[in-house]
Amino acid sequence: MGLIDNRFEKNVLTTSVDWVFNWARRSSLWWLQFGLACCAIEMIAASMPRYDLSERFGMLYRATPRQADLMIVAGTVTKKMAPVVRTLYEQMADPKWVLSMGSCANVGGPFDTYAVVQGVDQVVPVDCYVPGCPPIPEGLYYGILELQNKVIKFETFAKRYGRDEAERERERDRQVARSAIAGTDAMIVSQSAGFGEPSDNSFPRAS
Amino acid sequence: MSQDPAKKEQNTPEEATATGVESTVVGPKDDPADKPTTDNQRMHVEASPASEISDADEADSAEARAQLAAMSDPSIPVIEPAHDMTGVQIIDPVWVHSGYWGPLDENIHPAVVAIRSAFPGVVKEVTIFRDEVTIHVVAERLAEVALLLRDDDALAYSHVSDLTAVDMLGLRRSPRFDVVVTLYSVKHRKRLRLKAAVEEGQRCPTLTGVYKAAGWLERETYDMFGIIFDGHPDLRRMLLPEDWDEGHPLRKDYPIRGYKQYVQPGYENPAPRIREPRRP
Amino acid sequence: MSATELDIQQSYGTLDVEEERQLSESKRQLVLNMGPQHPSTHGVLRVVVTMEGETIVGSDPIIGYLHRGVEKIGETRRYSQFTPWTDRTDYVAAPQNNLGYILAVEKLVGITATERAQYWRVIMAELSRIASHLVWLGTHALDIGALSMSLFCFRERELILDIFEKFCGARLTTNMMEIGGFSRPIPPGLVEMVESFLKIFPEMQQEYVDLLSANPIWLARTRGVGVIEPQAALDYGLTGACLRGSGINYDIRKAQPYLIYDRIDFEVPIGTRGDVYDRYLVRMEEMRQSLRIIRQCLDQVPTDGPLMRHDSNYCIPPHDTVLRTAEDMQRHFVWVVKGFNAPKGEVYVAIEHSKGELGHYIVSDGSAVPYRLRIRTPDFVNLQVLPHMAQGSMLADMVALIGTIDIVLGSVDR
Repeated sequence: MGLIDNRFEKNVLTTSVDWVFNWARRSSLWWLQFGLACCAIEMIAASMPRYDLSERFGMLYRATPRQADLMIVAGTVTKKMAPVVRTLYEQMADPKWVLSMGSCANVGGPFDTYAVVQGVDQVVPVDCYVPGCPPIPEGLYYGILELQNKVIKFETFAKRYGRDEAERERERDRQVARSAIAGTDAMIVSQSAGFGEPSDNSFPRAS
Repeated sequence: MSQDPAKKEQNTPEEATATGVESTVVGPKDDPADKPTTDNQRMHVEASPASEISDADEADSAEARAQLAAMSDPSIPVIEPAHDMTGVQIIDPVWVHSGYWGPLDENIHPAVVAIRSAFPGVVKEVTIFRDEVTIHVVAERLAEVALLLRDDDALAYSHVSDLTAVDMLGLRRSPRFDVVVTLYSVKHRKRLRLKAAVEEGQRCPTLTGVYKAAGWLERETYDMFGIIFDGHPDLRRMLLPEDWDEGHPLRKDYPIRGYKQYVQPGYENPAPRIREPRRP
Repeated sequence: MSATELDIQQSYGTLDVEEERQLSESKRQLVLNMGPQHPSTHGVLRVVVTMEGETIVGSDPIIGYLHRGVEKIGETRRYSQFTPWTDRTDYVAAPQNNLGYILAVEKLVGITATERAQYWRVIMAELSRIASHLVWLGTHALDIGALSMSLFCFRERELILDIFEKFCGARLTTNMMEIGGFSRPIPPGLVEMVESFLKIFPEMQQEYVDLLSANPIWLARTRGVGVIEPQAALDYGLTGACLRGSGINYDIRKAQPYLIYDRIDFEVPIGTRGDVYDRYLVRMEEMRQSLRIIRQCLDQVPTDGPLMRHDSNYCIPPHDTVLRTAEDMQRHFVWVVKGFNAPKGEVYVAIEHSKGELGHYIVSDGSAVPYRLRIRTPDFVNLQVLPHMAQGSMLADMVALIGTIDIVLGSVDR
């Protein structure tokens, strides 16, 4: 990604390259195996031979959030479980999406009680809502296809804000990282070795 | 479901209703009363709605129904109602004479007799409803009573089915809670219920010494009601977070929606909610 | 350095066995958190495991991550309205949950369903027992490592879910039982679907047996693991396959029969050793006995007759008369909007659920809404035996133990 990033003007080639990346992202969404309640059984049934979510859509379930890019919240989120959901969400790496499956995850479902969070969107930002109680596996498919339509429109920072703004953002991130490690005795990479100025098209680039 | 199959099958209302489709055209020859359908035999006589018949008219209305039945077509079966429309119920004998809880007389029920002879004064009351026998005991002696019930060979209540509590706030002034223990005897196939009335703040003796199953059941009862069990090895909250400070939910004065909404720290803009703010 | 003051941070190599034995307990033991999100805990179960090396010395299941307050909801809904929430407690076997609750309400008001409805209730309950055991087998084998078993089991489960969908419209959360029977007629083609399922399933089950029952890996991972002695099983209040695997014959369908189980001829499988393998065999045999029960029910069920008793205040009036006669329409309106007032009293009805004894305890104060509705779920009581079983076993057996108790967290936490 860093190899060709920002090497070109904002032109058709960059846009197509973005499209290629987004196509790759949406065709192999790895979802976090995270079933809470009844909707989890329908999610499992969706990945079983009759509906076959995994093989047809390139979606593989990973047990660890570090390797997943989609979190399907299937089931009721209780107040005891909500911090866990947030922790898992924060452990996922960008770009990440959240799909809220079932009415419990959408709005709390039939449980308007003392122990239930009324919707997982009070805890994590949600990209797609799938209604149903539980949604049949074809309903989950519809939600995932809509999510894929959203993924294909996912833009990189450079495309949206322009190349210079992207570089300034990158410099700010680097400053933050440097100041975070300034106090420890880890090695600080020299600021000039191998890290060219934005207009320097040296190869390879660190992003 | 489309209406077309129904119109084609007008002549056979049995099939029409069997497919769940209501035939919408009813002519003089198609009076449903003439052809009892396979799935839904309908009651021939219709009594007035329940609220209008008083209890005293029970005998009269049965007679009236019999008269109505006699006047109409003899080929239509008259279903003798097992339950009066007044709401005075006639209990199906399956639920009364099953014998699954023992004899329905407190003077001969073996558990009652054994407890009364071993611990005089502990049994406060014995209630019998349907086929169930409930023994109300003094709360302080609950563990001893359970030990007797478990160890006696003729009773052998070896299994605790359920241990929970009921908040009697709407039904009586004091004591507030009723701890309910349901026991089962695998050997004799009999069930039994023990109830112990516990006031708020009073401690109830634990049954973990008698049945290990009571461990989690008592923890859940503590979590939901706030009843503290004396001698329980590990009494902490179970179904709610361990640091839940908002009270005990299954009490009658606890609102179903709870007191506080969940706010995720570090997430400043959760999705807005359209409906009005929560009211307990 | 002296043996009692061995400091791990100073040593850069491995410890000798003698040195390790002299460490204090807090340094020797490791506390591991099998967290709420874990591929092998069936839902959101958290187990805090204390281990010495690979051996478990203590475990503490922490539940409550799916506690939704169903019992509190029961105090605010009328008797006929509450059935959907019973689906969601044990969501892999929803018709049995419905059945348990509806039987308790029927005992409270003192009615029974019609005979034809009772047969169909038994058929649906036994089908859902098979469905629940299929989910159990698929996930249990998946955790232990037989990955293809889950694919096979869910393939058969889809056949059962098709039957449910034809009968009541929903696959998973069925909400099919009603007070007094069934309010909609049996759709045509349903009997044929059940018959074809009865024909297909025995061969499929033979596939599972071929894959697992004599498999040396399966035997090595399940034989002798998680032994529960019969006295401990009674003490811990276990019911269902956990109890029968240890050799105690307690099946509510035989001990205290309900519905029409006293007219059906079937056997109750009992294990001998009480380990994970015996419980597996017990549940496999239960599936075969369920097929036998369904076969007899289909032979004995009256082909015509009412599905709903309609001469009682407590039952919903039949669909066709509601749309045609004025009295039934009024009754329907009052029944739906206002409900019926149940008699004062309390009942406890237990049925043999696929996981054990499912009991509903209803206290009624004479109004249309239960005063207290308690659901005694089998998994909640069965899960208590996990620390007892895990004591002394290896960490790798922990997933086998969690799987063999057959828990569904919606049922544990309600």
